[in-house]
Amino acid sequence: MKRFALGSSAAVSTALLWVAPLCLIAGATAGIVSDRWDWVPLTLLSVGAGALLLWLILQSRVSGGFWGRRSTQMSTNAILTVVAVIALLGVVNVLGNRYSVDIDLTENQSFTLAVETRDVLQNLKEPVQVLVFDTNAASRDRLLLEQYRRHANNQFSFEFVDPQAQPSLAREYNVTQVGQVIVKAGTKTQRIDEDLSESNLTPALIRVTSDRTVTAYFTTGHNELPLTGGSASLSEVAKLLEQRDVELLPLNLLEKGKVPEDANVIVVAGPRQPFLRLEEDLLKNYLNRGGSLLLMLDVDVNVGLADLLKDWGVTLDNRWVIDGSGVGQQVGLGPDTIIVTTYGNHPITQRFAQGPSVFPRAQAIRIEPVKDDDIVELALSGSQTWAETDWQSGDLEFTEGVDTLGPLPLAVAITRTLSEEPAKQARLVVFGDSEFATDGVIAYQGINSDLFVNSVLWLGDRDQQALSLRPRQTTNRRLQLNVATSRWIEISAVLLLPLLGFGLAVFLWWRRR
Amino acid sequence: MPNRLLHRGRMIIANILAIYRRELQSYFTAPFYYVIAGVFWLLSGLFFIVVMTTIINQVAQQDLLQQQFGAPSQAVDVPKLILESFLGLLGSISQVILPMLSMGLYTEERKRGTLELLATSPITNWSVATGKLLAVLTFYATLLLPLVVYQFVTLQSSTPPLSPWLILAGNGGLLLLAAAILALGMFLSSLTDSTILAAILGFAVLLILWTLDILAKNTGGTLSEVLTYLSPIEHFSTLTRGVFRTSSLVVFGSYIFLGIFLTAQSIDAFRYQRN
Repeated sequence: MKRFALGSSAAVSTALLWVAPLCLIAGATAGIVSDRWDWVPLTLLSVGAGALLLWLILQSRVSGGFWGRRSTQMSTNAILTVVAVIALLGVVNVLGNRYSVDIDLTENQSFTLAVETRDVLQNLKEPVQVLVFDTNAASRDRLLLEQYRRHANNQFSFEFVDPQAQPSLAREYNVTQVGQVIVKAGTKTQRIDEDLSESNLTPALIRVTSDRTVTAYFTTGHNELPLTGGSASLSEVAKLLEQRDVELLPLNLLEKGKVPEDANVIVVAGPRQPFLRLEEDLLKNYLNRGGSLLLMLDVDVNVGLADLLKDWGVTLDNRWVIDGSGVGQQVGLGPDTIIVTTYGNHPITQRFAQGPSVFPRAQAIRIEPVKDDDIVELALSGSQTWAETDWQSGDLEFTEGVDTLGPLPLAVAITRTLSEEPAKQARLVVFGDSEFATDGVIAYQGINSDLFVNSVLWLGDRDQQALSLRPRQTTNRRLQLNVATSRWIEISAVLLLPLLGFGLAVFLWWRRR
Repeated sequence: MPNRLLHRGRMIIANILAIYRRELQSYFTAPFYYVIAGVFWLLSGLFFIVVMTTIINQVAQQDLLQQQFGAPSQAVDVPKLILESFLGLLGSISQVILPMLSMGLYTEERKRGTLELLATSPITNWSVATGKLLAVLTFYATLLLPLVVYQFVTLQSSTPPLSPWLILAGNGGLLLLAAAILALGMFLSSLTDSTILAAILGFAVLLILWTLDILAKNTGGTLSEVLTYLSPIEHFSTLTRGVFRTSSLVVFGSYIFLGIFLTAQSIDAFRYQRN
């Protein structure tokens, strides 16, 4: 056994001299940048400080004359200066990072968060963690997540996880593909499978932080629009609702004989056969207990809900609304399709501004206020529209005195206060059309899906936050160079400029000789 | 008192300018630098044409396919895509060129024996280093200038034209990245009197930066955040995407300052050794 002689302390001290500043810097940076003074930076710092102290002790012990030598003073000075400057730079960077201002130079502000998202982030009550299962963190995702973190008050963190390195974690969250994202808060998690973007991250945030789900029952048995299938189904909006944590269940009132206790909303989507008296009574009682009902009723269908509608002062106009402005024809829509750009002031429509939604073959809804209901006309047709009495003949001309001129409400939302103590509200939304929410029409106009989804969410009493976040449109641009320009660019890029460089080099070299 | 300070400030600026002029003259009379310019222009010009035509053709093919299926064309921002890809490539090409520019900054002085003069002259080491860095950065900016012109001419011809701020921010980011790399390279060249060694060290530092960048992307947690923040390449790519951050300026500024400071320190040490 060979014991290390203390004589080799010179080597030890040199090593210490290297270790000390390295550890100090690493610790300080780690702590400062991450803003978490946990064991990693603290350990590094203490090791660094210990090494520095040890080095000083060793130096004073090794040779009394050491401190007196001028070269030592010089080098010590130099090292201390370097350490001090690096520490100073560290502090400057911390401040610079913390008070950093971002300026988004992209034309469509693709790196700026929407107001709705910022609302959600500012109101986070519990810490939310986002795990991106990707070996190679795309800087685009990182940018987005950093924006989120900036707007949340220390309640938002994110991490890039290598699924190969931590297979147990991947298994725990049922991650099967690289690129999947898990959003978690407390015990609730949400998985995002598509490319990360504001339009799917914010809803996921809302879902993991909200404390309840909405249960929506869709009535069956009257040929209502199906929740799955092709362009004549509600599959797209159903998907959107599920993304918002709404549970969709079928409800056959005749079989069940009652409205389920956990129903937050009942949706009647475009029935073709009448509801029976028993069913109507069930719905009426449900409303009077403080329920929420969404009706989407088409022209020329006897739905058998006359009593219920009368209770709420609603009359269906039962005539097609026709658009005479000719705007729709420019984009290939017939005159029987209404383009709506006027919305009521209501949580469902509050963020639509002037965006267009489309209602094919819709009827107007007339309303007589009952008691002191709060009535909002959600969607209004334009002033060049009218309700066509003679709509079945196909002769769509405005007839004075017979047809009713617009603007006409195509959808209404009614809130009825049932009792003050305890506060109970019944809510009813009626659309004069069911087709507007089908896949075929939604593919054409995004606001339609917002109208439907927001209605269900408002009825389900979750209308406070980020409702209409749609994926941001990327700028769609092509580059068409004219031939002359591109020729010039090509010639100068590949030929003229390099030649100039090389030519001058040769010329100078020749002249020197 | 303030007068004296003012006078000193003026002196410092005059000194920096003197060094700057002297350095620039040496660049524009040396064939070597023209060879570098020729190589840089050839490579970047070729890449520019290739990137542009590839992206335009790919998108055109996609559009055609989509038309056949009657679907609306996918939203692709062609000019921005070209800008991002090309700037990324330029960054890579520059990282090969930059150590060659910085390798001779001090080694030449040592060889010619003028370093003692500089080290013992009344001009502070700081001024010398700053002047040298400014000069070499000016040279690099001259190399970049025609490429910026290409970008403006082509990318602004789309409808609607690409925002000029995006082009400026991206190229400005490239200039900042170059300044940071050159500053560190200058420090390395002040350590040795072999030009080749200085160049090799410069590449080694770049390799370390690359590794840090890759590490930052592949590790999780605190370390990843720190490394990402410290990686100048990451800040550069953020800028090319069109996000201008004040913290990026702080990071690049820190690298530049550190390079100049370390250079001044190393020349100080050199002077002390001579005594």
